[in-house]
Amino acid sequence: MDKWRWGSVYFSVLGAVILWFGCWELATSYGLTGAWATNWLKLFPESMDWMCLWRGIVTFLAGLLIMWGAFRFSNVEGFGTSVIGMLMLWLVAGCDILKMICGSLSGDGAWSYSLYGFLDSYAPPYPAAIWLLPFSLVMIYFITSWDKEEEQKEMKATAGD
Amino acid sequence: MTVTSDERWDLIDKITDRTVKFGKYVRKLKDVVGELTVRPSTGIPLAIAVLFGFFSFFYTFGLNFLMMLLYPLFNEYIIPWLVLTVPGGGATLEECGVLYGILVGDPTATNPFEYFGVLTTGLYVAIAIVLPAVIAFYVILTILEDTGYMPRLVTLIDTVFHKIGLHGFAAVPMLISLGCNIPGVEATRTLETRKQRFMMMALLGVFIPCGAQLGVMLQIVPEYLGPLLLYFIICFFIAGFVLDTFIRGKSPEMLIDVPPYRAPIWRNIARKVWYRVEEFIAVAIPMVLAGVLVVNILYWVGVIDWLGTVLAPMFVGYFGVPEETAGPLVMAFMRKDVAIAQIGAIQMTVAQKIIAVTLVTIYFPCLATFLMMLKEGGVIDLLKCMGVLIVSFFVFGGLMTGIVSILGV
Repeated sequence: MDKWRWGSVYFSVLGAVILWFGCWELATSYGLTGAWATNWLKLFPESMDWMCLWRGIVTFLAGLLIMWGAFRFSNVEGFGTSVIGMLMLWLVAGCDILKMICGSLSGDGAWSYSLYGFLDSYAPPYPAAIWLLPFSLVMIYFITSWDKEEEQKEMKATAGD
Repeated sequence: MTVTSDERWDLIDKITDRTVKFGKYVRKLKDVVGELTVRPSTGIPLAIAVLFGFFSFFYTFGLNFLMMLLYPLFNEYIIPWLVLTVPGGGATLEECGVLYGILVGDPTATNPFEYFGVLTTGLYVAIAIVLPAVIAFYVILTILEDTGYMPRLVTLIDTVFHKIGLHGFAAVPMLISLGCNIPGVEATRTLETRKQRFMMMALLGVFIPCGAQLGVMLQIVPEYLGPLLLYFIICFFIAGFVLDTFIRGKSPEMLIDVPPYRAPIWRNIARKVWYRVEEFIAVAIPMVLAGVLVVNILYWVGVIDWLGTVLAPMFVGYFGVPEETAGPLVMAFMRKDVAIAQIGAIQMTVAQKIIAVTLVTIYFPCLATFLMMLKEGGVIDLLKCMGVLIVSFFVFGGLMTGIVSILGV
């Protein structure tokens, strides 16, 4: 199997997982997961606000686009669709990481910082996008591979002319 | 110095030799992503994600981070120092001198929102609440512009805006207004016809809350901010549709050049943000301080209390909010954010808080925006805007009263 076939399988599975986490966040924002959300290995935060709902919608749509694009991964449009889905996931994860960094520096309205308080801000639970981030970084390899292959094709075409 | 036609063509050849690369066009990934961004099936999900990032950054960096950093500066250092230093102070507001009352405000206040002095609440709201929100907003807006996403968003939502007689470019003043309505009104210049400019000014003034309002709304009704924003967007389009139907004028088609995606240059972003913030500091902050000064004088003279008493039956009877909200609602003309903060201090049910926040948002825009509308549209358009405003206030304010009572909030 060539790497694009592998990529197709990998991102189909990852897309499905992201889609599932999107559903999870939507359920959490409606309070359907209850205490289970936080008690289950203490991996996910329990938040029922409208930003959680919005995040859930974005994660769900990101999963859908990644999976949809992965089915025709070697095609430029399919690959582009997966890339857009991945950009959406990175955007959510980036916002969550920024929230953690700002939370650790703002000191809850007082200029009193402790090392424990600072480090504690970076401890789990994390939103789903952060857990999924390492698995999504594989896309960078495919993006650079795509660009290299396109460059080679372009050079061949120019040489042919 | 004169250049002959041949010399000019030689120069053109030299420039093209150095800058233009000839070859076969290959559709690259960047081009495909650019195309997919304006296609509804992929562009709309991405737009939802980008707007999530927009608001997430706005809340995280502007409202939570910068505000949290500035809050101790005012609450623990600047305001206590002013309370002790400005002459004419006393144990209560009644015992204080007029100058102290105007500059510092109520010495018994426990947080910066409750002083209502020009140098205390005025400076706190202007620098610790409005400015962080505006900085965060302009940072993200500039990044969207410089990466090339903004023209794509404009193209994507063009169809929706056409339903109300506007076009995709109307999204620019709309988004800018979420930071501050003043540059938002200024940005309506990009719209082609007088009808479009008037419509946009009226709709911005009524339905788009500025960054400062959003910040204070987040403190008063945090769990309902999302639904409230959704309500304002729906009202924006309903009112837009009505205005488009009744106002004569042209709504021409739009032709837009969509540039390729580019990595932003951070120095350019910093410079653009600084120019925008500088303009805001120069225009809006003096207005904010002047607004507090005028309101304080009106309070001392008793005008606001009188207006509050006169208008109270309408607010209590029609909208179902407590009598005490009449004062802040009158004050909202000068300072919407301070009015919302005042409303936060009044004992109310959640439903009443939601209605009161809605009313303040739909109410007259702040004085500075009002002046900008006068400058951009003239007296006639300003008067028309006021007409739209008054009708919208009763229609959409009353509608919200009905919605919260039906939903049993």
